[in-house]
Amino acid sequence: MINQLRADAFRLTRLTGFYLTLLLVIGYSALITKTKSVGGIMADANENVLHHLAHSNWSIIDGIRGLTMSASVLMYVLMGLFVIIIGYEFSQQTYKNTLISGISRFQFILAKYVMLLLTILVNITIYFLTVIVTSLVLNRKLGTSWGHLLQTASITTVTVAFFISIVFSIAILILMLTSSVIISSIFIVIFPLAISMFHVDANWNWLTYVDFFGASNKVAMGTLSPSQFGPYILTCGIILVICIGFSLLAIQEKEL
Amino acid sequence: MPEAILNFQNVSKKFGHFQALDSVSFQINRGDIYGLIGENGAGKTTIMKLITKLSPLRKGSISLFGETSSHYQQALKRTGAMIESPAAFKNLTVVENLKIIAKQNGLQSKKAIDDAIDFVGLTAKKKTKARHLSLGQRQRLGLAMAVLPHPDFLILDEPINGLDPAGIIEIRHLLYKLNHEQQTTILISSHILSELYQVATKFGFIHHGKFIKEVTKEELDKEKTAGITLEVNDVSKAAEVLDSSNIKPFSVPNDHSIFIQKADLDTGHLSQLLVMNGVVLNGLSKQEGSLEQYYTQLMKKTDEGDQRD
Repeated sequence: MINQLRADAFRLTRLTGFYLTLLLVIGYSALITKTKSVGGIMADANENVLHHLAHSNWSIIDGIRGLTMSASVLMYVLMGLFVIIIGYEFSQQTYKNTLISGISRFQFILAKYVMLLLTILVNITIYFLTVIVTSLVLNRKLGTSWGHLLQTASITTVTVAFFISIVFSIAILILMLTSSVIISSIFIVIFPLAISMFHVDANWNWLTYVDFFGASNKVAMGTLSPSQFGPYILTCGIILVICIGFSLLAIQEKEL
Repeated sequence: MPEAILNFQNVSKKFGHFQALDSVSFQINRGDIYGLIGENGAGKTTIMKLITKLSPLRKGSISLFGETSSHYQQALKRTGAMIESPAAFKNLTVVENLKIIAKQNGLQSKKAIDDAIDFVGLTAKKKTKARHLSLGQRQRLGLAMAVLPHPDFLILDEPINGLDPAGIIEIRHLLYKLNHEQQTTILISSHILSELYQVATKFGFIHHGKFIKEVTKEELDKEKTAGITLEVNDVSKAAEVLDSSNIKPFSVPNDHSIFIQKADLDTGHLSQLLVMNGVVLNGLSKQEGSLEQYYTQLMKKTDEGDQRD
């Protein structure tokens, strides 16, 4: 599996698409920080926070919060990584080389998920680092202590990256079931919108735990304490195990 | 006793209602270059996909390097394959595609990559992106990817598709080198039977998913020699007549037929000669010499047999 991760890392760093994704992430982050325009898919955004962000001079911690609320849009940028890391294997049929190299199906699926998680983590880290750097360039105040700022930025980075990776793990399962990069990409586009719409319109409260961007917003606002975090982690864990498990079953039964 | 690299036992495979393979059994021994011959849809690629686990095995058993199919992940590490069209990342260069294969297989040596590129004659194209390669060059890249980890067993599905005559000759030499210098056992399929005949040491014939026949090259050479088969009532008398008329060489495969290893005889004169010397001639048939003709005759016989059944 380590060999596969090394091969994927090598491939990523040779593709323009990877660097283009990084540039888009940096550009998007810098733009929001400079213009103080918060945007994204939000089902139950805190009106007070939105009002505050819209009408106050942003401190760096405001920037972190604003960027977290805008993170759902990143899904559409990071979707390119999904296509590069696993989509290409199926659209260009290179999975044949990969699987013949002796890697097990389980290792193949797991390696792809881990690679996605790592690259998303790198991108989200850069996303939040860009806020801090841009804010410092614009001479903005910290708004809190450096310790608290870095802690908030770290927690939101890990939370957002993990939540996006869960959506991508469902997309991996869809890819295994349909062999279609297009269908799995459409799922990535639709998922956050659908969850937000059902959450609001159908008033299905249980969707709270799969409304990942709503959860990361709450983390950034400090309205979701670590003790309330359990159900979200459990839901994500269950989804991840189910997706990896069924993806494995699907690929084992698949005529490749 | 030769060491078995691959043992395919009673393997059947169905796609929906289509029986792709029907209880197929055969064995490939160390050092063999095994030519798999059959029409489109006969089951050649299915066999290769089953061996490499790209297709799940439902019925029968396969063992590779002594390991059974449910556990032969390690055996697969000793296997290289190019099945159907060669697969490469189109946006990456030849050398980058090979570096990926090297990393997947835990190879560190840069020289191994250069050697593989050199081996398939792609040195001039090593920095060309895969999407810009011609069909023949992509075929060579696929081959380089398959041989890069120095596999003990190499599976090649139609490796000379799209190659020009010079490329075909190079690939033939390359396979010969792999087999003789690196002791690589090879399973190969090709529609170009004249080419397959030149490289393979053993042939397996497959027809409509059934394994029809297996022959070594020596057996094939004997069987496919051009000549005339005579069906006679008295083999020793017929042999005497042929000998005295200096019609040679000939062999006696059984007690009612004689095979004359010459195809250019005047059959009218020959039958007259035998009859005049008191030999009852029950049949006379010309046998052609190439693998294509052997294959055609074999398939014809098989189909006739199927119709009788």
